[in-house]
Amino acid sequence: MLGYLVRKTGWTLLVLLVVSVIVSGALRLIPSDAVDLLFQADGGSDALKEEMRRRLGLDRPWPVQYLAWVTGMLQGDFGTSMRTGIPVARQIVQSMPVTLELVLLGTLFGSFGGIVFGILAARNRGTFWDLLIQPVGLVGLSIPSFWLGSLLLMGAGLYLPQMRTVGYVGFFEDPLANLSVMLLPALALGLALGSAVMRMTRTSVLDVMNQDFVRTARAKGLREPAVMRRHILLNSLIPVITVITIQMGVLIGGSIVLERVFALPGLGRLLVSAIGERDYTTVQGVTFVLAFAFVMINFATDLIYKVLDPRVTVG
Amino acid sequence: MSVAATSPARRLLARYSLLAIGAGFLVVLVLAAVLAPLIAPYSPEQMFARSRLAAPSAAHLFGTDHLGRDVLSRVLFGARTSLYVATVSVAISLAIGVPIGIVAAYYKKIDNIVMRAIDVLFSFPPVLMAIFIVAVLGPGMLNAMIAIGITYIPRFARVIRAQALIVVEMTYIRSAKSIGASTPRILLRHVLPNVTSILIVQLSLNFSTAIIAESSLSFLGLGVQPPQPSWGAMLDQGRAVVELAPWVSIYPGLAIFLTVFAMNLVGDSLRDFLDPRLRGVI
Repeated sequence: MLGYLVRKTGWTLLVLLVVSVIVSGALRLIPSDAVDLLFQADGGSDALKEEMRRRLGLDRPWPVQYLAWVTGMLQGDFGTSMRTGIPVARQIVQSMPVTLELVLLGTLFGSFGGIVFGILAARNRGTFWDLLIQPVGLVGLSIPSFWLGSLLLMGAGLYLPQMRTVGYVGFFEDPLANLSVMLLPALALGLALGSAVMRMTRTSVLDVMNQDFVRTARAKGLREPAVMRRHILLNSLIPVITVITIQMGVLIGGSIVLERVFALPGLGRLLVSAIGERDYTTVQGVTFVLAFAFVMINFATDLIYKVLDPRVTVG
Repeated sequence: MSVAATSPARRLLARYSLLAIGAGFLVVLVLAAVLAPLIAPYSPEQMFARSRLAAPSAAHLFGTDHLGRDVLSRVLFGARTSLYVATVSVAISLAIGVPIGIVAAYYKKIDNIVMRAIDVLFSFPPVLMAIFIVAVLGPGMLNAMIAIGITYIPRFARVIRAQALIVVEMTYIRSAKSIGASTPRILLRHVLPNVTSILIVQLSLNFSTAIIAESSLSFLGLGVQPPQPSWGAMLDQGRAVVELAPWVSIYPGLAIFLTVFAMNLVGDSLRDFLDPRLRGVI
């Protein structure tokens, strides 16, 4: 277990290192200099540009810039926005709760709904409900979440006019209003995950149901609920968790788009507006934070695998 | 467990009809895209100043948008944009991902390094990766195609490698080696043809992902730029008037959904035919 933990931690750190090099290095590849692009619209003297470059540290060689960025990040300093001069870290901290809540709620809806319906389909295999679930799952996987988001907004506008759907409020300011605003985007985000989880749960449960140890459990007189919980469910969870993890990446991407549909002030909106404003320090910071989150999710999943199934040894 | 519903014949029939529905829709879609200039009632950029945000009617079957442009014509021309972008970006993923997968499987020495590098690429959430590449290259249709293409290279490489690893152990590969076939010949004539079935499934599933990625980027204003019609950008323009004129958002979104659904139907059915081992797996 310890060796596994050490290897996984080492690999995760290596990935984060490479990711940070890619993020920082790629922005250096921009055909024109970031400061030139920044001043393109507004104009500005060369002296002003030089001053700006010096202040942002862009006059130094890239390895030095990279090291400064990484050591800064380790101390919680992500640099300052090239547009507003506000520390990037402060912007990220302000926007993070929105995205975090959206992704968590979406994952919760998707995983819970997907597992419940997947089990129902597997237990009623071959019946009308099971046959219905396959195409419904495919529909769920095919609806673009941002279109579903606008449809939900339209529907709420028509049928639930008193429901609060726009105008973000923090959870700690007004929990009810917050949940009301987050409900539709979380549903839109969770549907694709739910469909994927449902399909995988169905397959996996069916697979496990036919194993010998399930027959043994029944043969020794265990009651059906106990067989289901202790023997079937636990053993069919691993592939389901894999799907959830893979889909988390899709969810993070989906939340970027959904924040635009529902005008939520999250990391996605911060990133997209920073790209529009050519605010590269912000783009760099937000991209790294989102990639970091995904890497950590993968790391956590690897640990969960090991806890669920001690046989897992793959590096 | 009812026998009839799961009997092989019924299953096969169900599968065939799903494949036929999906493929049929795609044929219609491609025809509509190719023939758009002939069948679209108006030019996608023509503005009817007096009928802005007009509800669907005989003159404008899908209504008009905020500039008075015919939504049906824009959806038809948008099909060209979406299919074009998806085709080019899938071709990019394919052209780079497949050789990586095959070569990694064949040369065991570099396999570990190559696949680790692919793992690192995999550690970016896909849409974030595409958005980031666009941030570096600048918004626009060409850059969106490149970004989406690069983003999905790892998927191709992984899937192809997994299958190629099985193929390279086959006796016919050893025979080819022993009669002195050159490595390029072995890879192209013996390994590649034997991973095609997996490749076709991956292609059809990736096509739908590329369509969603393109419309997401265009929706965010990072992909296809207005006034060129694209489904994603149309949804973005419909956003402001969603309560006043829902048809501006409904039809392009429906087009994306039906296209992606049809491609997934085709991909799912093909996988069942070509690779029974994966039946029912995501």
